[in-house]
Amino acid sequence: MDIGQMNLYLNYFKAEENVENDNEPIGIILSADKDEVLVEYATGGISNKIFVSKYQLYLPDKKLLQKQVKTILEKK
Amino acid sequence: MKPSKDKYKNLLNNIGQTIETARQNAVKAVNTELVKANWEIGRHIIEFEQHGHERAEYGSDLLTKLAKDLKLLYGKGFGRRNVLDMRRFYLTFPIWQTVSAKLSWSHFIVLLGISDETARKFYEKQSINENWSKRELERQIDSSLFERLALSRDKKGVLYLSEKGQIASNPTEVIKDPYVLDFLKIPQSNKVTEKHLEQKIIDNLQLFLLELGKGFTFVGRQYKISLRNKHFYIDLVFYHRILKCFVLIDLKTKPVRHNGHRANESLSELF
Repeated sequence: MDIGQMNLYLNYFKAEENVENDNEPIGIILSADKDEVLVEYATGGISNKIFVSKYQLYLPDKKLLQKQVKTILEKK
Repeated sequence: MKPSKDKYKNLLNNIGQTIETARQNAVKAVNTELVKANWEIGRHIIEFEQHGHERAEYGSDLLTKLAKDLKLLYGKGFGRRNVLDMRRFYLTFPIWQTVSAKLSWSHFIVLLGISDETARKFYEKQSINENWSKRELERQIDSSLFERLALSRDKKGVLYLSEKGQIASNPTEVIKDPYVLDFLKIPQSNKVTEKHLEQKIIDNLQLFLLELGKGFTFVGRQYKISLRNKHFYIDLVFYHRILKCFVLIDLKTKPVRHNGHRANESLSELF
């Protein structure tokens, strides 16, 4: 439902607010939590650019993130 | 003939602009000279060490001795910590031509604190691209901006990110996951409502814009749209100057709900 709602907003902006040379609007659903699988299903059939991002109220664990980035860089 | 009021105003404006430009240029020139001097000092030290003087005559105390003497001769700016930074500055940026004139010495001190070269290069590029102040740069490092952007990329993408900085060429490049909103200072244990969250974001709009990244401009909050007598309110609306598009943000303090059925219903009903 949140995603459908955003889709509606985007369609409205495309039709009513965009002026010449504006690109298609994008939507961010900024959520405390999200379920990746459900998000994929829900945004699957929608052509609008909808992103679901998590927000967090604390600083991330830098050491952990650095380790994950290192793993990416060590791949061949 | 007396000059007209407008013409006089024009004169005053022109003079004002000349003064402003000169002042800005002077600050820039001073900064460049300062950075250059610090780089040269670093070079002198390294070259001295490489000639084997260090071990032979001064032991590992070279920097301590140097800092003491320089402080005596030239004042406060030459404590051991600073001299150490200058030495490290030269080691990290051995080619003067690659040292950006757009960054101040205090930016470089922050950058020198990043041991990982891939990350450091990114923050350096991004500081220039986004014109970050020293404090903004520190904030971005604290929030692990580089790592967050890197994690949605493959190896090639990460290296590109490090080399060029974040390039806003398409929405996927611009959007982060997660967004770090620690600056709202909302205790984690608190159950926060969407209204409260939105208010906090508005209260901290500068920091929120910094977190969103380059190109975002604020358009409005609770943006009202009306469709056939139904009113909807979009929490936050931005415009992205580089992507040239509106960015609508919907805040959800509870997990995102999906109900394809109802979404389709409202869509087919309204469009």
